[in-house]
Amino acid sequence: MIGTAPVRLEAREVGKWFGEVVAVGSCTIEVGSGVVGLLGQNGAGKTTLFKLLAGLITPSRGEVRLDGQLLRDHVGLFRRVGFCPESDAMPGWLTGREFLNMLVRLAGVDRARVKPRVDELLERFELTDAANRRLGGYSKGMRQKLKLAQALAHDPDILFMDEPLNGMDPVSRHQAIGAIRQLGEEGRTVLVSSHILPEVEEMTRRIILIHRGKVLAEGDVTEIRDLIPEYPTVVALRCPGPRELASFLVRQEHVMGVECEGDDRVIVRTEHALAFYRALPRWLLDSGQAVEELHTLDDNLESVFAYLTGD
Amino acid sequence: MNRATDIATVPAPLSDVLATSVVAAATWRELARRKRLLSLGFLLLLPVLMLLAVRIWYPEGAPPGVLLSLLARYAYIPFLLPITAMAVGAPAISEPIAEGTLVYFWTRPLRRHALYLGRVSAAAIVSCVLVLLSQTALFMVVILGWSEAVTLELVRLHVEMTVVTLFGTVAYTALFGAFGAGLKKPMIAAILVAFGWERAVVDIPQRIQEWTLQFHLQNLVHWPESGVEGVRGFIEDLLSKALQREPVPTWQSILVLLAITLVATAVGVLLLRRQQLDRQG
Repeated sequence: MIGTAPVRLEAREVGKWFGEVVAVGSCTIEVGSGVVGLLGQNGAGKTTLFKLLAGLITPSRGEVRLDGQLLRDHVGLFRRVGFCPESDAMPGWLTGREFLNMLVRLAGVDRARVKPRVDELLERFELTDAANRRLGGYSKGMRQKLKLAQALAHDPDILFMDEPLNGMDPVSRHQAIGAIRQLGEEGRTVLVSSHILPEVEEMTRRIILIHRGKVLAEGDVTEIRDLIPEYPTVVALRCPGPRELASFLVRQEHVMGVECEGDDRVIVRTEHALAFYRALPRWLLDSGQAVEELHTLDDNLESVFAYLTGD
Repeated sequence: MNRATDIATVPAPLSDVLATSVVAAATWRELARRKRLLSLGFLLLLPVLMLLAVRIWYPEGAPPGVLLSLLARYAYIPFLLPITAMAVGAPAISEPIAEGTLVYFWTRPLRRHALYLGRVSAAAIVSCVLVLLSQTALFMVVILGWSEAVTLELVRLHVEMTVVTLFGTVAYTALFGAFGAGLKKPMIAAILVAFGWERAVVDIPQRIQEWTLQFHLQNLVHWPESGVEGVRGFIEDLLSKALQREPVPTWQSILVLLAITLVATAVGVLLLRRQQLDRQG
């Protein structure tokens, strides 16, 4: 399972094909609370898997359950679900306020609470000034904010966000990332689909990686990284005595190789990053060396993705 | 904050009445702002202008009751009603599918038939309002400065004609709405049906002509009891053609039209239910 208990979303041997094209092979996933990134290149099956998990398309095999129930059989479950689609398409002839009014009401919010809720959302997403303008005149960034607003309108427990930061300016992007992290910290299940790895890294370390219709890996980025023995983790340490530290570390377990770089850096290669990090404080004490900075040079999604897919 | 919910409880979907009414209200707003309604409005003014022309240049041509009936049979039913339903009914269902805005409804706790009924009923209401305005304008032209023509029979005829054309509008909207739910190019299918099949078949005698909406709608348009005789020229030709048609009981035509409306609506609901978001990206 990825995320914290309890399991909210499960897919069991879910697959989808269109004619002879297999978009998603057999995937089994369990997602609990917190933010989880669904990653994959364009054409990897990410969007199809995302739609399967959100109950928007019928699986060719397997099933998807939300809180133990089949999502496609119980539309009432969508009271707990918020969905932010990737597409910008909106009914251009409605105003922003009318669009939100309709969707808030259709989410099951009481009539008396619709107006205050819509006003609150418009203010939160800085759309109050544009509220009475038709959606046809909205910019891409405004549409993105409106999409997020309608997804959060009914305070859902479970959120599906497909490329949620598309088209946002840097300030809005930063705010949105903070908001998504906050949603995860509140105990909601937030599934974010994206092909932009650095963005997802800012939101979460927990990922599901899909490639050619199959789940390649799921879990914490560092844990996944640790399971790729063909590519040792590279760690850079900045310290005043690099040669002394290097000669100490080269004799330790889990260290495959050490080299000095410049006057103050030691580059370490290790097969087991987690074990290395756990042992490092004791080693530093034993060696008498102080480390001013530590960077993992390839403990990131981009590296993990590249290593796993071979791309 | 612990957001654990009772996983054994499945929340109920929205009530169909609420969902349908919210969708209909939003759809009504959306449709009423479309620029194509302006074009439709002008088109629906054509019979009004035709009647005005007849009144100005051919005042002895035909009694007003005959003119109303003729316009209903040969202008509204075969052309204006299908065009109105095509312009409003089919896009009301097909556009959210084609544009990709269906996703917002699919991720709400409402049943798909409520979505369909909301959109198609709003389309029917918009279409009926346009047709009603046209019919009202037509009647105003008939009675303006022609007060001696205003008889109980004329008023009854006008009300009857209005009801029939509104019924036809709803039937065509239901039919083309179903096209919108199931076909990628519903307008082509609607044109083929309204101006291909119906025009080709409606004048074929015996039972074949009964396989058209037009036949049954025209069958419901009655002639005024007085004034049919002694009408001259092209109107006489049209009348003789219309009067030669084999009669079908009124109740039968009403039943057929109702059945088409209900079956088309049911088919549309089924087709929308089967829609997936595969082609929406």
